[in-house]
Amino acid sequence: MNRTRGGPPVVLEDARLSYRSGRVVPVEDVSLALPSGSFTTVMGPSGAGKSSLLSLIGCLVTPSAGSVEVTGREVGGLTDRERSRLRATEVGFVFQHDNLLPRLTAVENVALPLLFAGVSRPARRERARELLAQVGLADRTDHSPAELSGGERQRVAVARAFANRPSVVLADEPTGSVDRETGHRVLELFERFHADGHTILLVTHDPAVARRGESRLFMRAGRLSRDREDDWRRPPIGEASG
Amino acid sequence: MNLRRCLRMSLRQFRRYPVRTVLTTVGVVMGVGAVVTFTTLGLGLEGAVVGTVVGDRQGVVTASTTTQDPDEQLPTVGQGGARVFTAQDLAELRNTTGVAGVIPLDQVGVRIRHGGQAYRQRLVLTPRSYFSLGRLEFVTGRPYRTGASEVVLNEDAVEALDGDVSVGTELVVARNGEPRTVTVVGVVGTSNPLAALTGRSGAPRMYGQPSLFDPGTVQSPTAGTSQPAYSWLFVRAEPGADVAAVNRRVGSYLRGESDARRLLSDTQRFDVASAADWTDRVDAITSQLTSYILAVGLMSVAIGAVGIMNLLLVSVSERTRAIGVMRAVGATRRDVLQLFLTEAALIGLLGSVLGLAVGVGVGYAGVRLLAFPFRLPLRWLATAAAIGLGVSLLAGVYPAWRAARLDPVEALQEE
Repeated sequence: MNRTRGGPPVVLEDARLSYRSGRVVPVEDVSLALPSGSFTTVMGPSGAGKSSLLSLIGCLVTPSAGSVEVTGREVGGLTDRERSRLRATEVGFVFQHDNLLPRLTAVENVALPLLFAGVSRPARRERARELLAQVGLADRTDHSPAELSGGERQRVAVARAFANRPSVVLADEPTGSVDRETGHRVLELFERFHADGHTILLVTHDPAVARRGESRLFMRAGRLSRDREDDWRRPPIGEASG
Repeated sequence: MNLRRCLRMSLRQFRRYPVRTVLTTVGVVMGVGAVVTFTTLGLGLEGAVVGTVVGDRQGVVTASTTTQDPDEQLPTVGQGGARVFTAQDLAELRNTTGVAGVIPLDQVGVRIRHGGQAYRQRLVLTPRSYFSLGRLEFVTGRPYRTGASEVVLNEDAVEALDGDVSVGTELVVARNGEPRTVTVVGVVGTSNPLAALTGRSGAPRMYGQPSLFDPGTVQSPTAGTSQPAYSWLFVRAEPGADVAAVNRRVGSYLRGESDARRLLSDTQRFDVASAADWTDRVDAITSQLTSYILAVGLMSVAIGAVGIMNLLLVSVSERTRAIGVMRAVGATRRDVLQLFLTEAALIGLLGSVLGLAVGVGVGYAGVRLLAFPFRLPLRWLATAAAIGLGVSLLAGVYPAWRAARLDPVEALQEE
């Protein structure tokens, strides 16, 4: 949960991420404040810089210019170790692919962030079981990812993101690799966690998914803009219209 | 991340790729096993050599003169040594505390006429007590009697005399053209630990008492009289006496007021040694051998280490995305480093433990096959295990460092 006494857990001011390598899209002067308990979606075409934005907020990278504050801490001024600590305690990630560790069981995958946050083993397991029950997988706790369906794996991934009661959960195309029905159930999970007071930032190229957010932003060529109705009608750049 | 968690994750990784893990571990097993096997064999060889050279001569101090550096090779006491130990010295040494007896020895070249043939032979001149001191085994006959014109041959000497010599055979032995008729009264086995100190133990030897042919007389500087002198002395310590102390007293007398010191030339020096000294010298030689063998073992460990590095590098590359996920959920670089180092250490530990077992087993079989005594090289067991573990950890450092330095964003994008 937000530990900045009610203030926005994420604040970006003219944050910029310059070109780093072939696969990281730049982010240009993004300013954004995510209110505590908000569910924000960012829609944009592939290559718009959505994932880079999440990397910035998730402390995986430091801004080239401007400022990124997570729970009141300026990410650019933190050491690698401090950023790891911040990720372990304040940030949850959901990726397009479940990205579960294949050698760990469902409960161990969910407990992984708690391990790095220094939570004791019994407390980790208890919290992980509780979350798996919340996502409807109470009977699958000791199954390995290989024994779960794609939808179940993604639900485990969602549970993992909320394990450490983070100040913000960052979801990168969480429905991108599952069918529509499963995607719908995954979004319902996000809505349920949001209803519990969690702050969520979800990026997608799918207007239908983006509409599920209570506030919507649009991203193109590394720049963020307020949602405009016509953006939802126009097919995103780079996407096949037919 | 605590160590227990690291261990669990590492073990899971091994379970996922059992063949790969076993093959990598085998590399370490072979390396550590080679070190242990070779050091076990080295220790067995050392035991065998010490047993042959020193044998039961605990409590015997040998004294001779030498012109070579005895630290460099197995000393052949008195090879080319000087006849400096006079009857006066013998008498003084017999009165030294802790000394039970002193047996002088010398060798002279003689010609033997037998069966119409002439032979050259080395004649060892020493009292009959030499046989009991050296525990020489009589194949037949007995030692010569004091004052009698009798000789004892070893089996090689019998063979050298074309074999038709036995107890009771009379031989004409001449030195410097002075012939004497002697009777063969005994034949001893070729094995002679004392002879190892006075030349090749396998060589043909004829033994006779010093009165048979006086090896030579010198003027005793202290007594002022002409006395027989010898090149070697065997000083027998009293039972229960401190051999090292006897050794020191003998050395101290010889280097002090002895005739021998006054008769010694500038290029020669005393060589006084007890069984312990011999053991040390043999140790010095065999430990050199062990060092070479160890180098081979270390190379094997190094090859094992390359295997570990290869395994971990492949593992890092296969688990790039997983590393990215771990970093995303809060793992520090140190956590990742620790995880891979734990895997390296586990392989090293497993390989070392199995290597010790294999090494001791093969080493034991080897020494039994070669009829060497078996002793566990405890110091080397610890060293080999430490090397196995240390080198494995070292081999894990680079892959672990690479894993820890991975950019989480790029790692997450890895297909």
